[in-house]
Amino acid sequence: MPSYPTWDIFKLRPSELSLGLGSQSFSGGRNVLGIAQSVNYDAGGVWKITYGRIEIFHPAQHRAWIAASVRMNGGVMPMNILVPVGYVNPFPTTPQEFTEVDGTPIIVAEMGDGAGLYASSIFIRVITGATLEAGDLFSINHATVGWRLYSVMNVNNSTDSPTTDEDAILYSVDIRPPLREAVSQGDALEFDWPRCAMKLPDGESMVWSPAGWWRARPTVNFIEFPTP
Amino acid sequence: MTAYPFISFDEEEAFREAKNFGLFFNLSLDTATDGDLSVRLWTGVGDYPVRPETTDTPFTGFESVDLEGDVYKGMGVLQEQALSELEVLLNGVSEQVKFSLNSVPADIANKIDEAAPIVKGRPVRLGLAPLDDLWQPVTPIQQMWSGIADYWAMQMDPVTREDDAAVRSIILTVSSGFTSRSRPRLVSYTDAQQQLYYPGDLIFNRVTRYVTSYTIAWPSF
Repeated sequence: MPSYPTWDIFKLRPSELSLGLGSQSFSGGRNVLGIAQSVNYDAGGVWKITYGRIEIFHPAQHRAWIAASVRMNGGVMPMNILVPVGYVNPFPTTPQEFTEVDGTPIIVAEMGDGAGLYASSIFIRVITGATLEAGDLFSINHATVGWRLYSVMNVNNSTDSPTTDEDAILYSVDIRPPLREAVSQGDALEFDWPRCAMKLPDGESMVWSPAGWWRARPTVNFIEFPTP
Repeated sequence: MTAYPFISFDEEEAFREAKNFGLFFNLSLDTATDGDLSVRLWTGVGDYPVRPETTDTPFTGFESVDLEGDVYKGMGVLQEQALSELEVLLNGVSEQVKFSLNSVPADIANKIDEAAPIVKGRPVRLGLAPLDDLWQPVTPIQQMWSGIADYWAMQMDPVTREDDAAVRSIILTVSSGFTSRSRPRLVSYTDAQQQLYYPGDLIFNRVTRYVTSYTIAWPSF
């Protein structure tokens, strides 16, 4: 699996986050009641993330910004962009230390069953964690396309998973967007720090522009890296 | 190759109810037995697999064209420019259409330069598939338009401003219907060509005497 570098979010921490699935729909115009009809051609959409007003003042932060800037190379090379989800994802209710990137996972979850390319209904087995709900974000490290981000659109049902740990719960969920690559049963799901291989949008670049007293508050946009 | 296949009532209903669609492009570079040489693209973001028919899911490719295991590569979000071209095309107005695929990576472009596939005469299909609320196909891909590939070309516009990005494009010209009838005729009615085809035939050997600006006087007896 491709090993893209990961955005150093502890040095380059955004003050504002914007996450969305860019979609492309075509309107058929409005009828006399003012109701517009539209159809959609994008099959789930492409992830777009904006890190707004990243506070940079320490030399290490400046270095991290420059390193990320030359790495991204104006929309050519991807990086794994992290989504901070500590506030929304199903973390266990018992007090826990704040998770480290690439550390021991707090929410332990895996694929409950294999799923093919472009599948949008999957089974998730949560071994450690609270109740899975619609709106939770997770990511999968695929074999050829790398880290990809998914959101739980709908939880259909949940059952106690009898085959593995006693606490494990098997969920049947609908996800968006559909799977970018096939996954097999037991593949790990990242709920602590979901991440996605992303690049800069066309025509954008990360410039280093410190103001007086070496303060900088850049904003940077990302778009999902195309599948190879 | 069927130009306008019959769409059953169920499929028509599926088209009417669907809010999500996939638009599919298929250039068959070889016969159906070597289907893996075809170019398969669609408008979705990720890849789209061709799956066999099961009890509750349909076959997901062009019927009798695609084989199980083929993959339609995601082109990303459809550009507005591409759509206007397709609109013209679906209304049957345009008989020669140029498809262009933008931002081709350099290594792929070099590979194409090394060993360019022969596209002339290969069938090109354009189809739609209605997708349900979870973006799963409801019917196989329904063919909307078909044409014959003519030639392809590589294009890279010159960059005039330093902050502009150079964009490589592959352009495929596809013709349909009677486009070929507008081609120039291959017969020139000259003595040289007649001697090439029928040596010894003298019917055109005086053509050079009757060129324009040569005044033929009526004979005076």
